Amino acid sequence: MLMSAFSSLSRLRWMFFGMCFLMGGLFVHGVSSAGEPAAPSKRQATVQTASAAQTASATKQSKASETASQSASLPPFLVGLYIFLLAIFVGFELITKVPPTLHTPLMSGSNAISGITIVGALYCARFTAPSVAKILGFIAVLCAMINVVGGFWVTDRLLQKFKK
Amino acid sequence: MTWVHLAYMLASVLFIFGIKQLAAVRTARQGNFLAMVAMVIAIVAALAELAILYPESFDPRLIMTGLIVGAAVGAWLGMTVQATAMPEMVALLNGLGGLSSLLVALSYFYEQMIEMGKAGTVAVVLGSDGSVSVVLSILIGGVTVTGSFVAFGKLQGAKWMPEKPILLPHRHLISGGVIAATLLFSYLACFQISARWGLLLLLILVSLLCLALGVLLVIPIGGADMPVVISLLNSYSGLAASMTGFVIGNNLLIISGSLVGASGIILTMIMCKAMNRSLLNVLVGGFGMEEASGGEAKKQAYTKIKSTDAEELAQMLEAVERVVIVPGYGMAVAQAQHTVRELADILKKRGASVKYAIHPVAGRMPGHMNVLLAEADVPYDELFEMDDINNEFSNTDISIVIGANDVVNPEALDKKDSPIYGMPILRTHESRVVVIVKRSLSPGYAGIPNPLFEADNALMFFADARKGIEDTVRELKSNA
Repeated sequence: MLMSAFSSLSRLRWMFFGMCFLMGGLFVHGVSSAGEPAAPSKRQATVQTASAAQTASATKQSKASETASQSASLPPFLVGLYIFLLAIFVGFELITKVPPTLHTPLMSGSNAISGITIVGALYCARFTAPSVAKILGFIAVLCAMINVVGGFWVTDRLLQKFKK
Repeated sequence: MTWVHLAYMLASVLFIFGIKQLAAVRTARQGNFLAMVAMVIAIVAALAELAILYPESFDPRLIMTGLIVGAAVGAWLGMTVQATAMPEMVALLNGLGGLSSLLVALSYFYEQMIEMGKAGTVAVVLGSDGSVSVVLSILIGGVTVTGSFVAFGKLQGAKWMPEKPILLPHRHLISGGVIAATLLFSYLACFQISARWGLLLLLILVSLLCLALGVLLVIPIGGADMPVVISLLNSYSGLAASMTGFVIGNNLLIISGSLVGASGIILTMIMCKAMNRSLLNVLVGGFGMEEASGGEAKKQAYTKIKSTDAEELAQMLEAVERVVIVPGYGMAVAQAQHTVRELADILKKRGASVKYAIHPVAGRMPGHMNVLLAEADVPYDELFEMDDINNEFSNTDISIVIGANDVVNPEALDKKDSPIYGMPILRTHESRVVVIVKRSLSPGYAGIPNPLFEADNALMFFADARKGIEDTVRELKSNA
């Protein structure tokens, strides 16, 4: 029973589960080894600002949501983990049967979609003040944009050929 | 701000629909368009978010330069790339996506840890979740970058990257050591070290190790296993984007990245299944190399080869009714797809039925043969998958195998000690006559002899795929 659950595709699903638990474990370990709750990073503040009500003033709001995240709501990381897992399942369900004809365009198209990392790159290059982080961010924007535009373009050219 | 997040949500939904539509022939182009729209929405929303969050300090000049130059380069690549070079292009673009994820993680780390000058370990400053995400983003991104670039070289047949597996001595030991060192340094960087120069050194070291790992993972994998590697790297680049999502706390990245990750994994599984090998077996690499020396010796072991030429083939084709063409990597190398279609057109004009039998791992990337034949305007409904056509070979007058070897090797069916035993093959040996267009008797990728070559109903046509088919077409035309 257990062995069959570990066979073929489901084995990969188990691997994803394992990876997520590992990340969760490291998260817990980090909290306990730091001896105190992790200081709210800018990132968390951003997310919280986004999710909390807009009416509160910025400072009050970040304090309020900080306490809220400690008492009731999930930390953004765990929310992200939920989303990650569910999206993996959506991905599996979407593409269970692809005709071989479409293997190359599907790969090329999904490759262009993975260029979504450009949103992160934009965040890194948001100021122009010269600094190492900004230069790295700029190169990241450049690479991601090549990936996105080139990827969609190549995919479209591939798909044009399949028109009867 | 709510609007920005609604826009992200809309983009996620469009990505999901886009991928779904990409998986069906009728809607694929629309799916690609939807994904494009989603990407534009995401970029605009991200710019709006930054402008709202940092009303005073946000400066779009650098970003705009990057976007415009990147778009120009991307469009130029997309426009000018030869149709036959598209597999390499996909690998190259995949590497750029991984590089972007890697750089985002490094930039985020550098900004938060070095430039902002906060005290404490990475786990304290970024939160332990943040630190793990940064490290994972670097890890997966790094492996994707160099892995994809090596795959690009192998697909392109570049001089700096031979297609054959490169087997370093003790390669498992080296890879294992690199992985262990990466994990150790990552752990130290996240939870133990708080000195800034030490952290910087460690992170650079981790990045370099991941880049090296990407090379180590892909160089021992030979040409015919590339479909697996390419789809796996595709999956990695999605996961890297997903990890970037964790780093900057953006759910859109997490969703679209994991969609790509999942679709890549599915393709990988399809490719592995088509070769009856486990993913691990492919990744360990060096397949066929152990038998290669034996293969040389066995090359002389062929005793009753019958060969044929263009003239004879043309004569045989005069009076056939059912023809099946089996393309392989040799057709791709010789760029023979247009000539092959010309041959098929002549045969069809004479009333014969022509079908193409496509093995799932023929060529060097998933769907390679389909792309080539589509480029030559071969109608989509003449292409048949392995399971759909295997029953028809016994009814076929002539099968023409063009530059394929292992995927038609009947050893896979009955010889239990063969390395390819159990791999699903195209049963060309069941047709009345098999003509194998091939340059020599050299073994295929698996490095084993192919008993099909000396079967009673088999004829070897020793020629370059394109030249051979061209000659046949000329003979057929002159006879008419």
